[in-house]
Amino acid sequence: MEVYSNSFGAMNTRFVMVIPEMSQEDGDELCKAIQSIVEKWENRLSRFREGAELQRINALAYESTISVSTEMATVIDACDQYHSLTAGLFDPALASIYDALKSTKSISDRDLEILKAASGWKNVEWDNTYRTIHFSTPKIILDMGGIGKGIALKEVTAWLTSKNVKNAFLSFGESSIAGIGAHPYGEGWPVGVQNSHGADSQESTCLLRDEFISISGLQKNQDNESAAHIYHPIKGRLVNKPWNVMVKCQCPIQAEVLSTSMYMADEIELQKLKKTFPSVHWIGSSQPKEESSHHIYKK
Amino acid sequence: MLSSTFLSAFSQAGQSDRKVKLGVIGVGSRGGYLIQIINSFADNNPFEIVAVCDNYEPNYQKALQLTSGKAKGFDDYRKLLELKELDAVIVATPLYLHAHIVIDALDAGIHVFCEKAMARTLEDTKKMADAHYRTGNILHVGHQRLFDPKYLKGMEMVHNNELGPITQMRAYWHRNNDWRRKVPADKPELERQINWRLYKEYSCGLMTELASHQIQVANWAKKSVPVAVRGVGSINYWKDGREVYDNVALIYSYADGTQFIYDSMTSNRHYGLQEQIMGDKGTLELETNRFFTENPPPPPKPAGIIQLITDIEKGIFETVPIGGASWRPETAVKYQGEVLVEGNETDGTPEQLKAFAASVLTGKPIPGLFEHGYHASVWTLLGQQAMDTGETISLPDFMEI
Repeated sequence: MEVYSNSFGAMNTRFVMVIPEMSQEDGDELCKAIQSIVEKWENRLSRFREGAELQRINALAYESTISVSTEMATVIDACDQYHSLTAGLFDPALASIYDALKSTKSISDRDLEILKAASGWKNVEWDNTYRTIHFSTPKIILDMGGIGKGIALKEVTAWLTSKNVKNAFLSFGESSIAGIGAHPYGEGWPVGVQNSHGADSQESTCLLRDEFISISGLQKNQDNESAAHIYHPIKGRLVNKPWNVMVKCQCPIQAEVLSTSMYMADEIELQKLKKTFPSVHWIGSSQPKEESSHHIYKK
Repeated sequence: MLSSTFLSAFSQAGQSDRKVKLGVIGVGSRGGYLIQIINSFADNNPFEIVAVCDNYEPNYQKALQLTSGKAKGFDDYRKLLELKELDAVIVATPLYLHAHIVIDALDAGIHVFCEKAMARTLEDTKKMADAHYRTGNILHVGHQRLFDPKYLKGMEMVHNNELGPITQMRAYWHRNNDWRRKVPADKPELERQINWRLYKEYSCGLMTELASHQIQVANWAKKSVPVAVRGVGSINYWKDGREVYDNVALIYSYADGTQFIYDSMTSNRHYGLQEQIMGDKGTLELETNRFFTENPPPPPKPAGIIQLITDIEKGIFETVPIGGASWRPETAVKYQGEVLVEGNETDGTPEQLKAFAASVLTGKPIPGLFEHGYHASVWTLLGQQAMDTGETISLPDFMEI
């Protein structure tokens, strides 16, 4: 069977697409259009790109109240809602803390505490009627890294569906994945994630059919050692649980937000998340095997 | 203009037993450095330095030391030029002294390697050119990038149209220092002699000392010379009595509408130096040995995805493994361009000196090489003139060669 595949760099990672029964020519045309969609969102949501709307917001929203575009308003609305629904676990206003922790210059405990108090969504004033945003402290830096790929993926999958693409496998850095339709020889797209951080290395699997998964956990550094990179906004520290969390749901934005939230959540926080999002399927490799394995349905 | 491959071949030429009997006139920082390069050739040295000359005592002593006392020492270049065994000289004196020394050497039948730029004035530059053509002796101007493998490779790509038509060029050279050399406290009268680069009578500052290299590169890429230049310069930081600008900004225009945009400064070194040659298919960043295609290759697909593709092609239904020991949630992908020449650590100076030696041993100039130096020097001076007058400057008729 003919299979189209292509990849490009975007959003600081790689985007890969696999579309069965698609010719090279047709696939290239789709790929070009998808690249434009992703590029458009990156140009809007990057805090590093010259001229990006988010960069402008970060530069000006403390000094004044900034009007944002319709598209940015939908993103900020989503951030605001998810911040509330996750009881503060999802927080895109912590970039200054991340930058301080990553910096080679060490930061004193006192300065870190001051920074924590001055960061966070609690210091963002968002008016969704007038679509304006203002930061109440100068330390706020918004970073859409925890939601941006989900937003891009949502538009990409909607666009592919509008172009009558029935089956496609899309991957953003192997951590945000879309399974449109199914594998040509199965009833969905079968995905397996190895957890290799803990002593018990086990695979979590799931089947995607018009569904999305997002995976969060420890990253591997250049020495292949596990490294914490997710900051718990309420506990005020980096989380270093030795496993990955995979979240499966109908919305890629929700998947991305929740995989990070569920990874960092303690037991009580996790139960609250599960109650708030009952239809989301959570797979953590610390779970008993009977909860994490699935039947893979073959045609 | 000069073919890159021809230059490359010439720099390798001439493994002769005969050595070039060489004199070095001007043993300041550049002259001293060139002697050290020549010394490093060791057993394969095509030169024998038989004479050195400098009229500044510390440099004179340095020259004798660098040549281990084997070279005859002079404080008057005219006496050096009288040496019967002399084949060639390197002229590395301050800019304003190049012309008469070079012309005298050429007229004496001695081949010349003259450090860039050629001269302080257009008139002197033309006289040097006339002397070169009149005598037929070699006048090799010190633009080492013409022999640097990464530049040769880059220019080959440009001239083979791998970048597409060149639509713009940019270059800059940023430093952060006062450019001053120490003047002995008990000899303040030496200020203009030692710090000649800071005075308009002797130098055009950033233009003749730095920009001339990069103008040469731009002309090389275009295989032509500009038709006009405009620019501005000022002293906005080093207000210490110097006369030359501490920052310059110019645009050189070529006949086909290509612009070469240039700036240089001495109060910030963040951006360093670079030449950027841009076409519709790619970009060269020559100082950093890189080529960037406008259509970078896609990032590699992860192993799990490759397996998925293979499975589908073969009719297999298996789990797509997207995790694993080497998995990272996000693989940062950024196109870094491609290296022009792996392991390139030279700046072209040793290769240039060897090519000069080879050229001297044949007695023939490398075709087209002098013209690179001439045009770079001329357009450097015209750029200075544009800044000084505020006018758009073209090549005066008397400077045509």
